[in-house]
Amino acid sequence: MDQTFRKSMAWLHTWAGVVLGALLFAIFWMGTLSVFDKEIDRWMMPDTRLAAPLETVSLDRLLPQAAAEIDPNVGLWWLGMPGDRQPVAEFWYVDMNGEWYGPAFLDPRNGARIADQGTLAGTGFIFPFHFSLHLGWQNLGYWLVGLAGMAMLALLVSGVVIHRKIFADFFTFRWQRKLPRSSLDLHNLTGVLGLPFHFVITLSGLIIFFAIHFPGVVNSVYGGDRATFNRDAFGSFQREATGAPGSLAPLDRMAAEATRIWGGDPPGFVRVWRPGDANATVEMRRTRARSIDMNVDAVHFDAATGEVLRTHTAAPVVHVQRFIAGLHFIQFEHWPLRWLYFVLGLSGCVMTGTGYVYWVETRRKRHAAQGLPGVRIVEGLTVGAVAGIIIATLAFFVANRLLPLGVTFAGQERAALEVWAFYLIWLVTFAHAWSRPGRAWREQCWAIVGLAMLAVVLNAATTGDHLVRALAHRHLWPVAGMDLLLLAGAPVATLIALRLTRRRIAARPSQDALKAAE
Amino acid sequence: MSGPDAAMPQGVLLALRILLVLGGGYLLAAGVSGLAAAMLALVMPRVEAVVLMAMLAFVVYLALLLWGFTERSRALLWAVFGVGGLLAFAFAKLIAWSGGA
Repeated sequence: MDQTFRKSMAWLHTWAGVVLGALLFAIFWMGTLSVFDKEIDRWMMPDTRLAAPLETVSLDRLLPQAAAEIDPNVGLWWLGMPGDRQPVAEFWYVDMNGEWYGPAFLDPRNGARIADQGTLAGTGFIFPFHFSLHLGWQNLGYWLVGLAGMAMLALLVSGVVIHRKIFADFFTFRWQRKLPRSSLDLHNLTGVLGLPFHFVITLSGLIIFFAIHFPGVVNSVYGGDRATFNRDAFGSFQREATGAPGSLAPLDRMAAEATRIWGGDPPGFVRVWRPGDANATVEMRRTRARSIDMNVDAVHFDAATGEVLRTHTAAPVVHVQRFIAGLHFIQFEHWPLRWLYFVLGLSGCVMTGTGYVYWVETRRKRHAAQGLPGVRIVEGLTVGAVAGIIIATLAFFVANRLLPLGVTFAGQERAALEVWAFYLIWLVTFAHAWSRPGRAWREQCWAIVGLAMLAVVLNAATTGDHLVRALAHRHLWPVAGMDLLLLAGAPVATLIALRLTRRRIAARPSQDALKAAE
Repeated sequence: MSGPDAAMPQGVLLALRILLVLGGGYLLAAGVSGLAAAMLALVMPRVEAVVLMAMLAFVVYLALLLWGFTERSRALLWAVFGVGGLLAFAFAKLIAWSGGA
């Protein structure tokens, strides 16, 4: 719509970035942390730091014990098997109104229920934030994330188009130059090196939720019949309840049969539909730990007899979709790749953040001269969106270590209080950023340093699993990893704080940065 | 259904274009993908047709977004995103309403 294709793309890149960058940073940040969501769970739920021998798990012991304390007349039991990253079994149930209750964690060695840890932690707060923003109303969060995802793809394409020398950017980072130049270097470096990852991770993230974002495509073939679509695509299956009481045949035998069908892969989770009813069924789902794709392999058993009723495996195109979803979900066990995802996720955060810094710094002088409010507004937005969400996340961790188990305040349970700490602190960082322009970046970087160190100290003080002890025991490595990342983050934040302090001396958009902004 | 008046202020024109490209582009991508899925369902298993087109719909939408922010002819944009988007979406809805392909 501008004179040239390249200029149109530059316009799109600038404005899509400024308008949606804050949302994109939040999604990237939470997604990056979600790479280690179960490790964060261990850190935030100290009683689940078990050294569990996996061989001893018996479903026939675990499931009845887990369900012992609940009304037998429910819609569904769900049991997640322990694994390499989660040493505890996880139990949920669904009541007759479709409401989910859980998770309850079980010691797989004896089936004992672990005391409620009073936290949503990584898998309950950070991971869902990544794709839903915890905005449940009308799936609003999913749609905002979808919009941000489409914007991200448009930003990547337009970013490549407006680029002049992609190869040189592989090697260019002039840290000592003035801020517009060094932030643009860093934006280009992370953008170019991370390009394949950023494109695939964004597109795959969108494709996971195809049925939410393009319900019309499903409906144009299935009408409104979602149940049939879910059966065809994902192997969903259940029977009408009879109302007559039923029994439960040995689950371990069913698991052995499913394992045999899957060539040695055990179940990853088990569902019992309408437990206690004569028409109850047991659904075993194949583990996703051993291959990239989020397989939808299922074996459905008659709960009373243990007889196989149905098996399901993905059709070819569905399999492609599940592979793409698996690329994003990383449920497979592979530590080097998991770390690579984490590093590349961080590179996406750096790219988003430096894009903002560049926008602000190249306009600072002109906006000041013309009395425009843009720079001030966007700089506050940037500080709150980038440093602020990191501070809020650290506050979430610190609150987790400070609040005693079972505490309630103003009618809120402990888990909700942690979430309140996150959002309130995040709001405060925005208020701080807009009220102290020029100093907000630096001060919030120092807050990150302080909170990160505090979190490490509090973990050692409240759980006794300090770094040395955690490193010495394999089952505490998730805790050690979390502490090490917190400790590594502190000097990085220090460096940035110092670098931004130096900037105040000579904050002028340099000539070469302006040229590059064309 | 001609383009908006050229006398309109730039800001309004831009807001209209953003709405048209985001909204009309979505309707067009969803509608065209839905119609393609309905047709493909005649020659391949229908679950496969749905998942294939629902995945490609994101790529179609991306291409439409990029084109929508570079095309200079507003009349063409209104024809494709406005008229085309509404028609494709309405037609796909009609098929869905009649119980699907």
